[in-house]
Amino acid sequence: MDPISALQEPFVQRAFIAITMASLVAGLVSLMIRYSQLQFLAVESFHALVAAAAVGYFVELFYPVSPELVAYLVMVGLLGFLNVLEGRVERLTAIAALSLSSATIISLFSFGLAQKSPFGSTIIYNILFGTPFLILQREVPYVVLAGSAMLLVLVALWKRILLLSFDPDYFAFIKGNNSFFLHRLFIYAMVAAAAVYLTKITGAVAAHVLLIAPSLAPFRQVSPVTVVLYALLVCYSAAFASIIFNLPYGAALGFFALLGYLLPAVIRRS
Amino acid sequence: MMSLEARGLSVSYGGVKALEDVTFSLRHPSSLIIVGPNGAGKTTLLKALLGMVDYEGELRVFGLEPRRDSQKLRQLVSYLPQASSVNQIVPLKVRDIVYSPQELAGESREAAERAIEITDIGGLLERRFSELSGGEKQRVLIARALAKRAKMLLLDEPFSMVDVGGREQIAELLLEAQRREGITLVIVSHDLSYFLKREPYVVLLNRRLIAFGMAQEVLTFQNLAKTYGIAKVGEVYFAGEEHGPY
Ligand SMILES: Nc1ncnc2c1ncn2[C@@H]1O[C@H](COP(=O)(O)OP(=O)(O)OP(=O)(O)O)[C@@H](O)[C@H]1O
Ligand SMILES: [Mg+2]
Repeated sequence: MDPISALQEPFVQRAFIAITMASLVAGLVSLMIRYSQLQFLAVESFHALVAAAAVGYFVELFYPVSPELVAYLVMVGLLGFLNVLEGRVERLTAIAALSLSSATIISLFSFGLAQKSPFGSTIIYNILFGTPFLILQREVPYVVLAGSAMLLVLVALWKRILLLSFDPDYFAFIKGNNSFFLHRLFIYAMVAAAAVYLTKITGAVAAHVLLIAPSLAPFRQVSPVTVVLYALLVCYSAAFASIIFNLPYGAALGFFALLGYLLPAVIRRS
Repeated sequence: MMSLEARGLSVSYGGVKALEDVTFSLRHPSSLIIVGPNGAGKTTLLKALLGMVDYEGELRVFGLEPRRDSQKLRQLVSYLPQASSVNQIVPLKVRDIVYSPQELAGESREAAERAIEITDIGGLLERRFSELSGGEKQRVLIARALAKRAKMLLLDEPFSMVDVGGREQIAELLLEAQRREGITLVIVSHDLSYFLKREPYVVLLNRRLIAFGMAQEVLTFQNLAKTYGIAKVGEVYFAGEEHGPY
């Protein structure tokens, strides 16, 4: 499809609104993950993410609740489980335990989805590889509202997040243990919210890329501006590429995200 | 008035004792240097005094019980964590770091301004922390500790990353702050030579209390050998000897 006429299409416009919000959220949250040294968590969040979404859509078959809300709660539960484990066993063991329990949940609930719903396999496909071109008109206000709310909270607490990550011991001293714990919890809850939000817009595979890739890109200056710009460029290029070449969005996103990693290295060499 | 009183103080992490049956007390104002090998429980002792870890036994800081009255206690003390707790990926400017007690605990700006003056870091405020030299970094972190009004200052290895000339400077700065403000200084350090002329109290620690008292009474060859195990004693003893008769 020709990209200029595609932009006239309402479903394409909706996709661009959604990926703009997604890029802003992904940029800041991935930076927060980097600063608070939760990369391991982010890498492992994939299993939890798919598990949460599978439970969300399975529950929706029986109860009139938003699958995103259920997914968010499951995600918080799984990360909370990790948080509890981390105090007791080695960090890598805790993460492995999270991935094993998530894998079990994924398998059970996707099987349940496929059994109980005639669209089961489509739902599973969309959880994994969903695309922003499937955002419905009635969902747009929620996408914008939820994204703006996350951005507002992040911007308001940004300095605190930085101070907490810079020197956790000092932060715990000056705010007290309880407040320190709540702030850590806030960071986990924010990662969970962003993961579910991005999954809704791009599917879990691409959401996972967006949670990790922006802040780890090999820029000389990693800052909120460069990271958000990177996310925007990757998301927009992927959208255009998937329109022009009729590619799945996730594949295009992966390709451009990688290109963003390779280009700075090539430019620096020459 | 007593600033610190510990009786039978023990701290364990998951069943393993990091501190066992430690007893000592300290008047206010005075200075205390905590000395001991790696893993001796020095940081743990500071964290217990700050109410940041659970402990058994009796502990009072300015008459308060740290775990129970931690909120009140935080208003009376300031703290410099061990530099290894700092995560330098975070792109903070010196200004943001020094003013963190203002940002996080509503301290007065004058306290920060005075701390900047005392530590002489006015020229560094707009620089990135990660780009400073080791000594400059340590001065910034000390400024952050001083930017909070306090009756007691707890410093965990304020000399790490600092060369010999810088150590002298930092020690002077701390002792000067102590003299002017009448505060109690509690310092964990492997190098106590700079403080000896002010006759500090010393805690020798190796999970258990090896000795407590005035420096000249406590810093004997025997006690140091007991604290460190024989191999390291020559070094430490020498550091003390250089600066005085102990
Ligand atoms: N959060 C923790 N969880 C489990 N064990 C801990 C924890 N913090 C400290 N320890 C253990 O307690 C013991 C004392 O540690 P501490 O940090 O107090 O030693 P230290 O005297 O400050 O050593 P260093 O000179 O290396 O700073 C060590 O064996 C350490 O491994
Ligand atoms: Mg220590």
